[in-house]
Amino acid sequence: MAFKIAASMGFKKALEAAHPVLLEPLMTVEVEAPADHIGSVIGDLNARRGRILHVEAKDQTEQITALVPMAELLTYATTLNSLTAGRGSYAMEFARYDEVPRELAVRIIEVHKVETHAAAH
Amino acid sequence: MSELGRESLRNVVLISSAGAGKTSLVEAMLFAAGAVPHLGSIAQGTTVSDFEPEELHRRSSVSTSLLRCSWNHTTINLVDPPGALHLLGETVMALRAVDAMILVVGVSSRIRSELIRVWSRVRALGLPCLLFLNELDKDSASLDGVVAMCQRDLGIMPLPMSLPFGSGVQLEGVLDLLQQSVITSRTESPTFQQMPIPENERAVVGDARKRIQEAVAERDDRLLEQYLAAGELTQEELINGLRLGVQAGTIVPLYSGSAIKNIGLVPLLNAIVDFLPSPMDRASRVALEGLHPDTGEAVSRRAVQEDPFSGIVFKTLIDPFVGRLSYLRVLSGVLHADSTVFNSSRGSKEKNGHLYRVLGKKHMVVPLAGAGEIVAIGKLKDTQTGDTLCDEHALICYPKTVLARPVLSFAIEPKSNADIEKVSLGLHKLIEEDPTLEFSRHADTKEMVLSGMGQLHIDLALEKLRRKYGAEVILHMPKIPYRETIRITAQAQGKYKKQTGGHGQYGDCWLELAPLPRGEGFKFESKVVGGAIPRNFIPAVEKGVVEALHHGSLAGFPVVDCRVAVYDGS
Repeated sequence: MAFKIAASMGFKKALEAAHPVLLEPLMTVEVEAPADHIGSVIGDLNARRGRILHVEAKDQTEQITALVPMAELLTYATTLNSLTAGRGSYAMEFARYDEVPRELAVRIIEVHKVETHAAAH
Repeated sequence: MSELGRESLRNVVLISSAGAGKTSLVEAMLFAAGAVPHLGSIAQGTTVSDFEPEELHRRSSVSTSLLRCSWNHTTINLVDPPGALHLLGETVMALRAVDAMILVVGVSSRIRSELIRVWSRVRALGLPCLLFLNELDKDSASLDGVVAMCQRDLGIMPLPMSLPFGSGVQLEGVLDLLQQSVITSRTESPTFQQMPIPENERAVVGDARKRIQEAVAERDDRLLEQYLAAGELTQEELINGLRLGVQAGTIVPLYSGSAIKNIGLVPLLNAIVDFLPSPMDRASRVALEGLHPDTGEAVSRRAVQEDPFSGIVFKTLIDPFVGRLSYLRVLSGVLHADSTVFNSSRGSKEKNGHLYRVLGKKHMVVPLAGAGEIVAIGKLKDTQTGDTLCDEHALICYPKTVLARPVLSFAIEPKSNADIEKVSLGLHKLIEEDPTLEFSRHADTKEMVLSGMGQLHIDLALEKLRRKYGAEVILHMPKIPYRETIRITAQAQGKYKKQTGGHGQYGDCWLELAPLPRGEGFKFESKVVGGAIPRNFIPAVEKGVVEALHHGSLAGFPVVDCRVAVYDGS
């Protein structure tokens, strides 16, 4: 019992000294859109901190594969619809975790602390 | 119903964008064929195919309906799925139940993206197709426009088979190019009037008919020769040629009319009977092939009643009062009520209850259903949409339809504690009805997450949840499951001392934290030498670390991708 508590305390101390960073889930997104909308779709994915991995032409549609943070995709269905006049579709799946950029991490931590604080009351 | 010859059955699905008028067209077909006494309307909420409260107040179908009528001694099963993009799953499943389709294009709704997407699926299946241009009574209606649109967006070249008689609000009927007559009808009565083509329309009809003759002759060298020699094909050659062309997918006839005015339905109904394939015709082109669920061997069935029973469930309906209904297309053999069948997708025996023939919300009990028929089965336990049912002594499993994965997720929170149970129970039932919905509890954030194909899809699910299961929920954006990790290696001492009489408690350990590559998770090791910490205390150290791992130091997110080593202590 004593060792358990000691280990917990030791871990917390070591953690703070080890430069902790925030990780966020990244999704692999596959977007299919008509060729004439491809520019706005790629532009939008970039604005969402996405990394375009691959673009491939299929008939009259283009298929874009990108790595995008999950946090940026919560309402993507609606956005893609309006960007492509309803012609685009997409599928996504979890890819991996990656570091959140520092300025953004500060904001997320801030928001989260307010939320946990509110929930505790 | 088994007395019905197999040749006199047609299973047809209607496909269109939302708002093109599928439901109105179905209603008009039922009315024209005498299956319903009055022409119902969507505006008044009186159609046979839309009856769920969600459909009535939206004035739009949200689930697949099954209708049935009879024309020229042929039974026509009509499948009316919703047109909205978010409900595409319903449409895609409905394609499993039919042998042909009618593509409905509304003058006002045009060809939208969802239709282009359904079309690409339909094309892959090679389903024979008829086109119907609805809302011909609108001023903007133009056959040439539709032909051009179909060519551009769908890559098909439709062949006009009827022309408007009168225009705009003055539309009285259609010119039937095949029968060479004018067909007029009214909304008050299902009967129609057939008249010879008036003088002033003869030139137009002659030209259009010539195009049909040419299209048929082009497909067959013998007919082409005859056409070039005689300048004409006989009526019989024309009809046979059209049938072959439609069933091979090389000819797509275009009919036109106005569903809400009961105009143009007669040529369409004739075409369903004359040109579209019966279940037998269809099976002779596209074999009923599946796998034996145990051996993995390829097996096939013929679409005849003499073969062992097999079929595919294409829709599941769960009613809090009636219980579960599974809509099945019988592919081969005969299914009897109250018998035992085998679900080869799940590998379990199923006892089926009553069989019903479906007309909108009405169900009529039938004793059996033969190859080609569509029936609803009561009281199946484990069977889900997409499953194969078959004779327990002759196993076959048909390939499953792949549905799109959900793209939009929300966290849901029951409005009150009393709702918690109802929410998860109700949602699980809704998912059985609609496999494109997903519901889960997230391991990290502990939230209940509901995912669907779009906002409308989620809204509908929650509306049904409230109406059928009495559960209310609030939607939130789902929380993002953030995690924490470390960048550099660090060491620290943890020391715990408590000596208040009796046995004292003392623990002291030195830990080293080191980063691991992304995705490696967590590793623990002991590098204690010389028994600085007694061996039997090491598991306690690990437990302490694992507990602390759940709450990182930044914002309390779980810590991952690090190695913890205990290397000293006392």
